[in-house]
Amino acid sequence: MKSLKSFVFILGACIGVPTYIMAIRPYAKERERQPVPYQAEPDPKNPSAPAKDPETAKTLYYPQSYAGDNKRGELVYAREGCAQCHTQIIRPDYAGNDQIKRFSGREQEFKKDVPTPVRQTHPWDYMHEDFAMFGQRRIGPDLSNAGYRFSDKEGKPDPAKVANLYQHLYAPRSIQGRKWSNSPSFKHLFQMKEKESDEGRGDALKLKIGDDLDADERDDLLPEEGFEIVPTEEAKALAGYILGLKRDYPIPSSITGIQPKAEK
Amino acid sequence: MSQESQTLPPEATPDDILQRATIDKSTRLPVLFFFTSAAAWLFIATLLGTLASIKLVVPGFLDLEYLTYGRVQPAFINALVYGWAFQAGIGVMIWIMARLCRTELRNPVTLVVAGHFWNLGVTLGVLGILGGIGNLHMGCLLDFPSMIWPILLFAYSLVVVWMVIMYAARRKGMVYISQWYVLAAVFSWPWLYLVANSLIHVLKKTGIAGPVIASIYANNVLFLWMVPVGLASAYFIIPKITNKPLHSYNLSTLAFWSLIALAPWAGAQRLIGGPVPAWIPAWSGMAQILLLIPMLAVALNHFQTVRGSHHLVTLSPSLRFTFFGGIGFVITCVVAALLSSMSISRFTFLSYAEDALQMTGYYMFFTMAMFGAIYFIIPRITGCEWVSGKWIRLHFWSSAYACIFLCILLLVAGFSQGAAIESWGRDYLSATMFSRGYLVGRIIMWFFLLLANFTFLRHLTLMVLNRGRKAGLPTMIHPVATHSTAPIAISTEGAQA
Repeated sequence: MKSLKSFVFILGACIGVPTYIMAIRPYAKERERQPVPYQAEPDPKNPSAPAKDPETAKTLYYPQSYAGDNKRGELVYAREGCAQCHTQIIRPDYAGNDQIKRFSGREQEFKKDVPTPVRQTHPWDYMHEDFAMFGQRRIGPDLSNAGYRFSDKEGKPDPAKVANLYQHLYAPRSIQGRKWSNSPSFKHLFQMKEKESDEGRGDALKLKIGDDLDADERDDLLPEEGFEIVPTEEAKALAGYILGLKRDYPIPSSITGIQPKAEK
Repeated sequence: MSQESQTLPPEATPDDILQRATIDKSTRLPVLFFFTSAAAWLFIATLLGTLASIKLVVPGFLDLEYLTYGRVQPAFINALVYGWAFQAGIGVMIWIMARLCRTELRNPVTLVVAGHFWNLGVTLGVLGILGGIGNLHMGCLLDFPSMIWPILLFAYSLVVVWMVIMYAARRKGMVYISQWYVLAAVFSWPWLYLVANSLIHVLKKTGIAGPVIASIYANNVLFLWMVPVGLASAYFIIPKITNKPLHSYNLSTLAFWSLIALAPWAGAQRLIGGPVPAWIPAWSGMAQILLLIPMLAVALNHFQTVRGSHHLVTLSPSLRFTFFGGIGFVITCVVAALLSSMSISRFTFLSYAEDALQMTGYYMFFTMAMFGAIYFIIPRITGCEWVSGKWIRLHFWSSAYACIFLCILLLVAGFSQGAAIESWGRDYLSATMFSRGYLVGRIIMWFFLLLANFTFLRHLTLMVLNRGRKAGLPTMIHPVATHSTAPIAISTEGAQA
């Protein structure tokens, strides 16, 4: 090596070229990404079907953005380190079996013994996130389509299942049959408050503690007489974010390249 | 450069010895500062790591808002890397650079100021993660709160400036391979850190490019910072203690440039199958597997240099830790290459096997290599010998035992977890239960590391407080008198060499 200058020059070239190709160029492509309008009204059952009403289809874009509250929930999700254990990736079939995994999407929820593939996650799914929530480890279940786990068949939040979600955040091992869970409890997202009326607040937790818990543990979890456990705004935002996680919107044909088939 | 000038001179004249002692004395303040704060951070990181491993089996243990698994795990890994690894590495870099440039260290206060800023940044960062303002969804060593990175970058840039001045003021003549490695580590990290942070925190809206950038950054910290620093120290210590020239200088040059050419591409292979353009993980995986070439070149070179002097590995603490670190380097590259393979990553995708890679890379290779360097450097700059060979033995065996088993346990845990996730009929009960036994084993291994690092911290503190042995022979792992070839070890291990 002749001099420090030539050393630094070669080193800079060796590191600079990969930096450009592997980091800066993908970033520039990401900034150029725009929401894509549907040419046809999306039908989740048959994404490649042609438009029934072309006029309404033109106002729909893929991907749909979150509402404001879900963005706040995303911050709580990041801050609490949920991504250390939960991923939001569905791999294509050449890389893994995520697509037919139980509870990975809508169909798996209702037809448990006949797995219907969920579509793999797509770069467009994450374009409204500052930093895509891929997650670090798969210690807990994948949350790409977690919204469906707390919904009824019409896709609206199911109150009993949502109560279960709050209970998972408050005391994960107290749910019936979940004593093995290694999820931390996020008690600091909840407050113990005095009951205002006999029925209690509408949003107070309705704990259904599993019978596999000891009496001591049960007593620790349940509030005292005249008190109730109320989720804070942060807990509600986090739950709202999880309920909104549905990454299986039909992909417009302009991205996939699959042309709509004519209806028979 | 001629062939003679490329190897370390085998015989030292009295002038050389005097000059080395002067240089060592001049580096005392900054090097001791970096080593002691690094050892303290190592102990903190070990406590956090123990807590994180307990949390996965007994989640109710210390049930506090600030100590959920999601916060303790990133706090642990960042304290280990930025608190311990970087500071120990900077200390070793300063000392090796001063020795090999054969110039006295001028202006040590700049480096101490840099060290204070670095510690400030790491402390605020770790507290920020535990306190709930970190970027924990980013992972990949970028979990610190957004305002920390300028502090770290500023502190490191002081070190860079100092290194360049040092290099420019060197006595003309040979440039040894360790200096190349140190310079590569000096220049590459600020660039990588600046690019990653300015894209993610300043320009924002990274979308799927964010995880790609972060994964490559984390891999580069291992292969473009830790590997150069660890190898610089190994290339320095192995010829010194065996008292033999390097086996092949050309081979070391080949290893250096192939590492520099390949390592920056690797990293994104942990996202195989993820929603990123498929060529990115494929290309990264290829680079990661090709990194076996520099690994083989380095391993061959080191093995051939130590060949015939293997008895010294049992005696000299520095050589034993360095040699173990060399084995750790081989294992790190092999594990990283295995996890980059498509058919294997199907079962290890984002599983505990990635923790296994982190533990081999950060601990089995880098930490052990740094221990070797610290056992070599401290007697030379403090002028007294390590207090007890017994403590060194305890430190070595508990560390070695723990990191070998951590690697095996986490790899097996990762495969069983991944296999449970791969079989589509199973729910997460089986993924949790299949790996739980190995996680219990991991807790036990962390207690061994606690023992090891407490011993090390106590030993180092005694040395820094000038309470080492003032006279006598260098401290060996075993009593020297029992071994016939001991005189070689004494002549090169002692404070004067």
